[in-house]
Amino acid sequence: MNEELDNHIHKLRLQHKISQQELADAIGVSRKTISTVETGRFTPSVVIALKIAAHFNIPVEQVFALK
Amino acid sequence: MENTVLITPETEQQYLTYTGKISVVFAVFLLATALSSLDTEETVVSWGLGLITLISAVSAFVISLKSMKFSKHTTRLGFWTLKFNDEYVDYVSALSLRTTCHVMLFGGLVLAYFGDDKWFIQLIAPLSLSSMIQILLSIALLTHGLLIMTKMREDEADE
Repeated sequence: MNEELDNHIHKLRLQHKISQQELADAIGVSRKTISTVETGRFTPSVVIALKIAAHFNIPVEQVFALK
Repeated sequence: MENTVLITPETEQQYLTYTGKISVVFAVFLLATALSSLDTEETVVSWGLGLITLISAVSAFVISLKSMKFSKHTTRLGFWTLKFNDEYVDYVSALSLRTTCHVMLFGGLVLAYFGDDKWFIQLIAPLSLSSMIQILLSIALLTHGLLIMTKMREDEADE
């Protein structure tokens, strides 16, 4: 669990009404990658972080933030 | 040339899970083989260990054959060195290999350094040094397999 990093993927998914699988398919990763990033168990690379932000059409700082 | 067609994160995930299962089955096989050397008489325990050895050997063969189908659906690097494109799958693969490497290094160091010492041979008796190596390999494989299977089952219901 990353104690320093916070993310808003779950909230953004609910707003856009998409499942973890749909988000995973859209950015080309496994659902497991999305679920572990969302729960803070896994810290993604900058590339994945930017792809998630691009998918929601917002800056990466609005998806990930330091606690 | 590397095969770049049909490589999905799910395929990589399935292949890594298969390798985890193979490791666990091989670990059981090696452990049963090592423990069989303790009991040379025909008792229920020796029959049980023999049966476990046979079942695990057949299972390892069958799962290994099944995993061969992934050679067409993963990159050559991914298939042989367990390096994957999907970040989480690659993270789990690297973590399990790193932990296994540490187990082998520390265990191997002890066996290589003290293996011939009289006190060590007395300590592990009635096991032989080769049985101890089998047990060490078994622990390493079990670490590899169980780590993969545990990490791959985490967050299964988080949707």
